[in-house]
Amino acid sequence: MSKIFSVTFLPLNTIIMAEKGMTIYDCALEAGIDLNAACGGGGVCGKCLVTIFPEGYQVKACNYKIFGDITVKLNKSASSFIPAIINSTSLKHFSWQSNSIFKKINIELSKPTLDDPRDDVARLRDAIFLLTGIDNIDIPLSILRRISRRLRENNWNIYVIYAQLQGKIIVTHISDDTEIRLIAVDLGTTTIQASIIDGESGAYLASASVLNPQSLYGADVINRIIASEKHLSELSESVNNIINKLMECMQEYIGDKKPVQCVLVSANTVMLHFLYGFTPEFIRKEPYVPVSKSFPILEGSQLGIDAPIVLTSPCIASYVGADIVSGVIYTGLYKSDKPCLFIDLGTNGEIVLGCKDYIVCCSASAGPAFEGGGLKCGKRASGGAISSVEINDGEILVKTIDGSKPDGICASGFISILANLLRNKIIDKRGRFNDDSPFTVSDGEYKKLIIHEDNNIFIDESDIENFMRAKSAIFAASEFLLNSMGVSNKELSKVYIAGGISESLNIEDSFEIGLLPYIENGEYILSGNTSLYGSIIMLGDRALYDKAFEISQQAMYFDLASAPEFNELWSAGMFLPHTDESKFIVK
Amino acid sequence: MDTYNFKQSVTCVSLGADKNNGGTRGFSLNVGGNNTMPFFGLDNASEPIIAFEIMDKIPSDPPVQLREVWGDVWHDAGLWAEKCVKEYSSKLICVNFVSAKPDEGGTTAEKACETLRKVLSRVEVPIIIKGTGIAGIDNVILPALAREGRGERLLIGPVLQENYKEILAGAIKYGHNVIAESPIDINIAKQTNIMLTDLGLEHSRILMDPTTGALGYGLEYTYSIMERARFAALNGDKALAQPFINFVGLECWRSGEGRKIGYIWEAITALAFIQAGSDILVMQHPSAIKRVRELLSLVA
Repeated sequence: MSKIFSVTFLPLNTIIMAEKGMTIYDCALEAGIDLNAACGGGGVCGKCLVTIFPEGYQVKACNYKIFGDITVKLNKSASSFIPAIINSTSLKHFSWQSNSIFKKINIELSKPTLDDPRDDVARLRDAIFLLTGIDNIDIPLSILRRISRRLRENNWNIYVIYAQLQGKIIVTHISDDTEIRLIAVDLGTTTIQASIIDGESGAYLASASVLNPQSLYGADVINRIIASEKHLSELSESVNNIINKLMECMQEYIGDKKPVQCVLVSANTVMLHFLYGFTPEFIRKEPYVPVSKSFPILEGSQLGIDAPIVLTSPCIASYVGADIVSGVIYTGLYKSDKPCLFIDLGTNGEIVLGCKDYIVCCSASAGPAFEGGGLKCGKRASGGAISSVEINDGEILVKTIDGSKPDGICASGFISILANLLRNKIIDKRGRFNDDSPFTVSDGEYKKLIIHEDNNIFIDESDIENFMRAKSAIFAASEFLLNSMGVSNKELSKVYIAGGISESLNIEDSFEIGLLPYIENGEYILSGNTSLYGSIIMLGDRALYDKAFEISQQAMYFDLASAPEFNELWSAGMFLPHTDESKFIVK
Repeated sequence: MDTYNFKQSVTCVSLGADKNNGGTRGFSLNVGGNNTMPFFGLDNASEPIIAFEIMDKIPSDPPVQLREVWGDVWHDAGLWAEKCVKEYSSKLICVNFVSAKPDEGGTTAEKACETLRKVLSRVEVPIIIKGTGIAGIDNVILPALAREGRGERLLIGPVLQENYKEILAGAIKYGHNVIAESPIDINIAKQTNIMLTDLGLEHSRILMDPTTGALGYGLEYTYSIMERARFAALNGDKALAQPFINFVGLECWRSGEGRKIGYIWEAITALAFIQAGSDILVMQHPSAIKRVRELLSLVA
């Protein structure tokens, strides 16, 4: 009989019972605690350090096997996954179109008689066809099971809410009058954001966000694909559950639980595979083929989601997903006369170059740097994250996202730091510290630069190198697309920057370190969460939803890993701002 | 023959300083100044110079062919240098401080300076100094040699991205030229040049060593880099407009085939690099050098 011990996690005070020999990491997984382990327990990232209490020594959670009752103190970056409401005034608002996907009609059906003994479903279909002209009508099982009682309860006078898309109608509500409530979800690799929209006006009723609980299994999609070989159902359930939790959180905020008509999920290809419980294992292996690029419209009950139907927009390729298509729709890049660039500065770094004549895309695989990962004092852009710095009179002044005390550096903060260090010649063009800088501290060969002394926030040369790799990947991928289409920077009319980082990104700093291409005749547009916004405007205009399918078919994907030129371009980017400085001279 | 008009010439670098210029050399040599690709024709500016390579100790496990030629002098760097000049009309000598390598026993800065002193006093040709490529060792030896050879306008190398600051100080102070080495990577070559010029070294004091691969051992990689870099330079890229130096002898005589086949291997490798735009060919066997000189007399 294997021995069972209790494992207590502080400061959350979560206790679980675990078998002898389990690692602390496994116990944390069971307890639903995220140790912020970028490698998903693989033993390589060193981020899962915890402190044994009360003895006080630090161990790697993925390494340490329990052999007795134990209390573990978590490091400050561990978190649990509770959705929080976002102030929706900070989100972009849209006007609703007349051909929104969801419509509500009031139908007075004729009662069945001996002369007209049509069954309930046929009667309803005929009525809907008469009003809409569409005879391809889906009625989900959950509605079929209730339809007869509903019709009679409401005396044959019912409100029908339906989704009309891609030439068919899917009924989601048959009953008395109610508001049309729709949920759009951006299922990001790191952060999940959702909004409840009023389906008649397009107004936000509530918005919430939460960390993606899959991060227990790794910070990036590749690690999660590897984890899915053993944990596919857990990974799948965790996203479906968190969508329900987000829904609950928002409904609590609104103050009622009026029914939601649909959940429209926008995400990258791998995340969508998890949503549907499809195995993503072959996405990771050459030739990187997904199970599907588009997904069936299912009833929420089939996926464990509390909504009549779940919709998704389609993907372009294994590594460029529906979230990017959503972004292309939202920015309007697909109808632009002149070429535009769209850059998603997130974990995957997808880039699109396009206009009304073509769309090409690739995934730079920038790594976690733009989410604050891989850096010693890096963190996601949340309260306490340093988002910009200034160097004045030999002092580094920092600003955090919400004004609270700094406890880490987020990606836009790192960009600001790099630009300032370069400008003040504290680092050289390779990103190495110049000698005799007042800010650097040496420990033998190892040097680090103190950003905030009190809270021990610093960067070192390997942080800089990691960040340079990420920024070089983005720039090189953009260049690659421009080169392959023979488009010069002069011709670009807009560069859209999407992703959480766009909230606090400084364009000038980004340009100075060689992250963004210089455009003479155009503008940079910080676009925010284009994945979410794109979903919302698709809900507001079914022609846009159709457009998404067109884009997913017509867009051309370039696989950078197999393009030898990309390596060259990337190598040239490992300099601040770039080996070819003329690219960054402002003319 | 039609020639293509390029925008920019390769920078000129002057090796060796005579009495009027603070040194004790008999003459200076100019490298660089090429204003077109080699296949359009070689002229005075673009004809490569051959440097004879000598070492500061008897090479361990030398090929027979080399022993036949140098066996009588290679116990003494001064005598070896003298033989290159007197018997083979060498105009440029490269002293390779192999003894500094850990597996060759290591040497001290003093001993290295003594060797340099001997060579400088025996011959009047400009001198190239080659270190080990190991930053820890070169950072000790090369600055000392820079000081020892002050005023002579030596060509000192290799300078790498890792240790350029340490070597640069001595090079600038004592008026020497520098070999910037890169690992068959055009971006690193360019970045190293930018780092050097940013720190105050003039363009006219830098040569590029793209890391030479012998025939059958990577020649084509080096060739590609050189051709691309030279092309970019001629088309206006100042950061790549430096003359090239290729350590042909070193690479060929340590390769399996090179040792077996002999000096022809060295000659062929050298000939290929002439086409790629080499400005200094550092070679070891006089017969290989003779073949190369013969070809140059035909085409230049």
